Order: sequence, then C-alpha cells, then structure tokens
Amino acid sequence: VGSYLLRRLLFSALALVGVMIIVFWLARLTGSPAALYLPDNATTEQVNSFNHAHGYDQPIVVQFWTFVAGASHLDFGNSLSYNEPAMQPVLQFVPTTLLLSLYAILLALVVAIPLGSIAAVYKFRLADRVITVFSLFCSALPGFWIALVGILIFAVNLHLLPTSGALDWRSWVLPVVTLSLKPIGVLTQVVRGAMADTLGAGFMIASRSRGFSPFRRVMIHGLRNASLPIITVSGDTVRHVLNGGIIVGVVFSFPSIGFLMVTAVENRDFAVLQAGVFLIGILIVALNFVIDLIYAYADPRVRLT
Amino acid sequence: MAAVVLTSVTIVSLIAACSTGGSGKTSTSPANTAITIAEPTEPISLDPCNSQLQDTGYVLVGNVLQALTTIDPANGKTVPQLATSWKENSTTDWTFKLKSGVKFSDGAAFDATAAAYNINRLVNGTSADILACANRSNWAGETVVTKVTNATTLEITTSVPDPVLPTRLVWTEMSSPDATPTDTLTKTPIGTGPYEVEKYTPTVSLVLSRYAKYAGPKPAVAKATYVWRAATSVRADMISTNEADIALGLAPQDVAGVKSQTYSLSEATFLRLDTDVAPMDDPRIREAIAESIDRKTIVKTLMQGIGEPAQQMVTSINNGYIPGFAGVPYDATHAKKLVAAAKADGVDVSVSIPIYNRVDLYPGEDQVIQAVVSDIKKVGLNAQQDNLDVGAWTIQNSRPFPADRPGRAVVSATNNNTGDAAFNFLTYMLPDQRHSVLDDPKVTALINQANSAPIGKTRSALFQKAAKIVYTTDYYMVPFAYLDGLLETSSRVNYKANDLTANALQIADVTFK
Repeated sequence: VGSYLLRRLLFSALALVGVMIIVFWLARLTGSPAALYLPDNATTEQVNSFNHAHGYDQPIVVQFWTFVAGASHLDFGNSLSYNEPAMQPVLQFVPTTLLLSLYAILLALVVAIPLGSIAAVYKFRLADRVITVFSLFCSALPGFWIALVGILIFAVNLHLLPTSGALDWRSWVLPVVTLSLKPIGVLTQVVRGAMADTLGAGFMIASRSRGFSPFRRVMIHGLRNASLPIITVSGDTVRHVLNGGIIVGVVFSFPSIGFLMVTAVENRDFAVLQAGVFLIGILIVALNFVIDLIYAYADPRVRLT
Repeated sequence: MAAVVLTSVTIVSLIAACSTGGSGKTSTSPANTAITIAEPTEPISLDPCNSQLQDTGYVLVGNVLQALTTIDPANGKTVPQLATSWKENSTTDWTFKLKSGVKFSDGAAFDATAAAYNINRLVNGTSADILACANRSNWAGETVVTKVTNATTLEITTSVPDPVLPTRLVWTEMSSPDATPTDTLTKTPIGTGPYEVEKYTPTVSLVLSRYAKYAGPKPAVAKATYVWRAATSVRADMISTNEADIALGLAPQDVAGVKSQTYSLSEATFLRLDTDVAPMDDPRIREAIAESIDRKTIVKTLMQGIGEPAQQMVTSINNGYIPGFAGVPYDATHAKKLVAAAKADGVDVSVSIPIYNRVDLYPGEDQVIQAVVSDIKKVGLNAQQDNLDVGAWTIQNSRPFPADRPGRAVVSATNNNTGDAAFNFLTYMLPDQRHSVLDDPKVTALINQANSAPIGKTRSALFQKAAKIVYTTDYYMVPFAYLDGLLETSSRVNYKANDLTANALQIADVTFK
C-alpha cells in the first residue's frame, strides 16, 4: 500500500505541476492587469510604472521563474485585489467550499441510490421509466438555468428562500440543490445499471430463498455488490462538484474557492488564481486517495499495489 | 465509517458557520436603520488613491472619504468640501483654506499637514513604483510642492501652470496618515466622511457603519452593507424579496418599473476610428460610418430609452460640450454615396473593418453594437463585430497599438463629470497619447492652448473648437449614445439619484419612509 500511495502521490504531484504551469501561461495571455487597475486616462508612464511595480514588465520567462521560486515554498505572491498574500483569501473559503461539495454529494447519494435501486427493481416498468426520464432531465439541464429558475420560483415568487448570499441555512438550499442535480441524474443511472446486474446474480436468488426481506436483499446485499461502479462515478462526481461551485458562485454569489477563482480571472488577480488552482488540485489529489481507500474497503479483492 | 462522515460534516459545518460573512440581509423591522446595496462588482481596491476606479468610488467617496473639493452634482462645478475656499496666487501657486475642527474617524485631526501628506502620497508618489495609484492619472505627470502655513492653510505649487487644480483635488481623498502608509495600499481607509469601514469580507460583503463623531448632519442610515451580484436579474430580484434596498446597474428588462429610476453616468459611448490605415484613412469612409448609425432607433429600441442619442463625447455639464451642435445626422443615402465615390477612386471598400467591442461596457452592449455594425454594413462597408474581454480590448484601445492592425473601429466609453474636458480630450485627441490615433496639428494646437488657459469662456471655446473638428472634419470620434444607469429601490427607503450616483452613491442621501 505504501509504494502504491507513493506512486500515486508522485503522479499527482506531476499532474499538479503541469496544471500550474498551464494556468500560469494561460493567465498571462490575457495581458497586463493595468487595464483594470488604472483608469482610462492613465498615462503610458503610469501604466509602465504599474507593470514595473508588479513585475509585469519582466520577460515572461523571468516572471515564470519568479513564480516557480515562490510557489516552491507555497508563496504565490500578493493578491492585487486584496493586497495580502494570495493564499489567505483562498484558505478563507475552504470550509464553505468543502461543505457545499459535501452537502451536494450527500444529497445526490441520498436521492440517487433509492431512485436507482427502485428503477432496477422495477426495470422497464412505469417507475423505471419515470425515474429514467427524471434522471436524464437532471443530467441535461444547464446549472445556470436551474439556478436562475430556482431563484425565480423559490425566492421571488414563493419568498421561501433568499436569492443569493450566504447568511443562514436557507442560503445553502438553492446552491446545494443546483449543484447536486447533475450528480443525481448521473448517479441514478449508474445505480440503476449496477443494481440491475447485481439483482440478477445467483447469490441474490440465494438470499431470496433464505427469506431475507426485499429491503435487506436490495439495499444491503445488492447495494454492497453494486457499489464499485457507484464509488468510481461518485469520485468523478465529487471532483465535478468541487469545481462546480463556479456556477453556483457566479449566480448565487456563494462564497467558494470556485467563485473566488472566477473573480480572480475577472480581476486579473493571477496570484489568487494560481493559489486557488493549487489548493483545488491538492484537494482533488487527497480525494483520489480517499476514493482508492474506500474502493479497497468496499471490495477486499481490490489490492492497492 | 458513518460516524467519521457525520463528525466531519459537523466539524466543517461549524468552521463554515464561523467563517462566512453575512450577506447583509435587511430586516423589515421599522426600527431597523440598516440598508443593503446590491452592486455588480466588488471594488478591486479600498485605498483612497484608487477612488477613481468606479467600484471603489461607489463605496468610499463621500461616504468614508472626503476631499478638499467636490463636484456639485447639480451643475458639475467644483465646490469646497474639506476646504472652505481657495485662491489662485499665480498660474502655479495656490492657497487653500481648510475647515477647522474636523477629525478622521480614528480620532486624528484633519489639518493642513494631513492634507499635504495625502496630496504628496498620491501626486508626488514618494513610493510611486509601489503604489501605482489609479487617481494619479489625473495629474498627467504633474508634481506639486506643498507648504503648511498653519493648521488651516495649505500652499500648493504646481510644477506646470494648472488652472484646474481644484478639480484635480476632487479625486485626492483625505485619509488618516496613520492608516495610509506611503509604501503600501491600505485596506482600511480612515476618512472624515459620515461613515467608516466596519468589516470587509472579500467576495462576500463590505459593511459601513455611521461614524458617531461625524461633524456634519447625522445620516438616517446607521449601517450600509454592500453585496456584489454579477447577474442583473438577481440584483433586481433582491429588491422584490426585500434582501436589498438599492440595486444598481440594472438592465431594463429586469426592473419592475415603479421603484426604478435612471441616473446619468456622464458617459458617452462612441466609435474611435483609425485615421491612418486603409480604408479608414479615407475621410469619406469615416464620414460614411458616422452618417450610417441610426442613433435614435438604437437608443429607443435596444437601449429601451436608458440613455440618449449622442453626437459628442461629453455631456452638457462639461466645458468641451458644444451647445446646439447638430453633429453628423443619420443619412444612410448620403453615406452610400460617399462609399461609392471612394470605391470609384480606387479605395477597396470590401476589406473587412473590425469593430472591437468590449463585452462588459454596459448592460446589453452586444445587441447595440450588432445594430451599429448592421447600420454600417447597409451603406456598403464590410464591418465585422469582434467582442473582446477587457484585456484583449485594451490591446486595441491603448498604445502601443498592434503593428499590423487593419483599419479598425474601437468601441469605447468615457466618463467625465468633472466639468472640464482636459480629463478625457487629451488622452483621446493628442498625438501619441494612450488612446489616441489622431495626429491633427490644428486639434493639437487648440487642445494645448485650452489646457493652459484659465477656467472660463476662452478655455471652453478652445476645447469646443477642437471637438468640432474631431467630430465633423476628421470624423475620428463617432459618439452615438449617452449612457444612463438604472437603479431600483425598496419600498422602505427614499433615494433620489443624481449625476454623482454613478461614481459615488451618497448613503447620507438615503432616508426611510
């Protein structure tokens, strides 16, 4: 296990370095932030002064090595917008980002597992067709549209929830539901497929003959044996949810790292963008480890070698 | 496993509950004197020397920070704020008399020494390379020497004759020297205004609270929370759900109507035409473009009346505004003839003319530029719309321009509520200036003369003469709309928008019903 984890860590670190390099170069293609930080009537001298103050007058290769030197000891530079070390605003939003992702994925699992199981039990019957149509809708509907319609119905018309922000628990409802809809759609289909295969297996017929209740057969014996594809897709879904805070952030102004990164792109705040990408990358690497461990726990035949 | 998950959720929930700031939801209690203001974008700086940046000015100017002078929104004239009067001793020497007994919200006294400190910090830039302040752009390389005569008297000597010094000082806000170092930008400006910054949570909210010892009249609003919502529909929705009391920068289709009002942005949007690259180097082509745009229809239909047709870069409160000027009327028939004549003389009118549009210039700008491009195409020119984000657009809008550029039109907008044309004519009309393609000796001479003339009829006449050549002889600038803003208020507050709303919404102007 130790060598497996070490190998995964090495490959993950390489991938993270690659992403950081790509983000650095792509961000610089958008030009100097002077256009945003200085008014329209700024003189050329003033623009030059701004670029010099922040190192944007240096050749791009020099800027890159400055970035590498800083990043090697986790110094991503100062945020242009917030005038503080770039990692500080990013770290501030880690708890809400994690919690938003956690709630969304838990909601997705809580809804998708029963729905997918019911669809598998009643395969090709009315319940299956209704659930399949519902899950396809969830998968297909664009997140920003769901978000705006959600605001219109639940905030403007019904006055049940706030339109945006993050004041109290009600502010979490629309962002969590918006973020979980696509995972609900995808996971429902995966659970349905995996359960349908499992329910037809010989050991399931044996468990029926042993007199286990339908609930126990499906939700305990069936689900455990169908769990591997569900865990695999759940892992991908968590990664989607972790990054999916962007749409939720933009529409609901919900404070998450994704939203902070969008704001950083708009503000040409390269340091915050790079710190955000780094931290999201670390979270995803950590998540991959956790998923591997869950995989081994769920199926003892899997060996982490 | 379940226990681990539950514990994790609980811990993260607690941390999140402690770390997220409030969005400033407004209670509907009659005793509540807090308001919430929904704006499109967050300030990218809270330093006084960046107050000219629109999002920064919205929040700070007049609310937290005050300057020696300010603009009277009624007529665009420069009037005293922390100064009581001023005197022009010579073309470069001025004496400013300051108010006595004024204190910053940290308790420090505002006096001539503090005023000199703030002016030097911005203008002379002792740490210029570090601060790189936005407001320094108003000074165009000019420096000053300050001399404190006594607590309420400040002498200022400018490096060049500066007849509009009091107007330049409008954007030189005063902040407590202790809170405003010269070697770094501050996030906690301490001003003399009726409010102070209580709490700033990046991307979430900025809270201003009433400064208890403010010397002026006590404002009705005790606390103002600014929140930022990118979607105009969400900002408008926040009014109908009582989550916000004022929502700014709305699109016409999003407002309910009854509680909405327009406000002047003192801003004109225009095409800046290349004059030095074919086919735009032929003045007939530029004149045809100017004549092709049906300004009235565009403003009435696409902008839904949130604005006015424009023939000039500045509004009537500015001394560069030409009273009674007809401009270049819409005449597609004549424009077609001009294009045909140019074609007959060998000008290749089929060549593509890119119209570089900045995507976030104002709500609905894409449709407006589509109509402009369509109008230009109708007269026989091959205009092509190219929507750019601010970074890519700046490459087209600012020097150094791309070396192999085609003949282009760049869509831009300029805001000038200072009353003086120097603050935008120079950068757009003088050769080699940052946004200028023009090199017309007549225009250059007139603007240079105007810029050194004292405020008055001569200065105004010279600016206006230069502008007329630019609009109707050079056909270099093609203004087509004055932009208005649209805001909505909740049913519990009174607020009357004025010409300063766009740059500095004064919370003290808000009262409760």
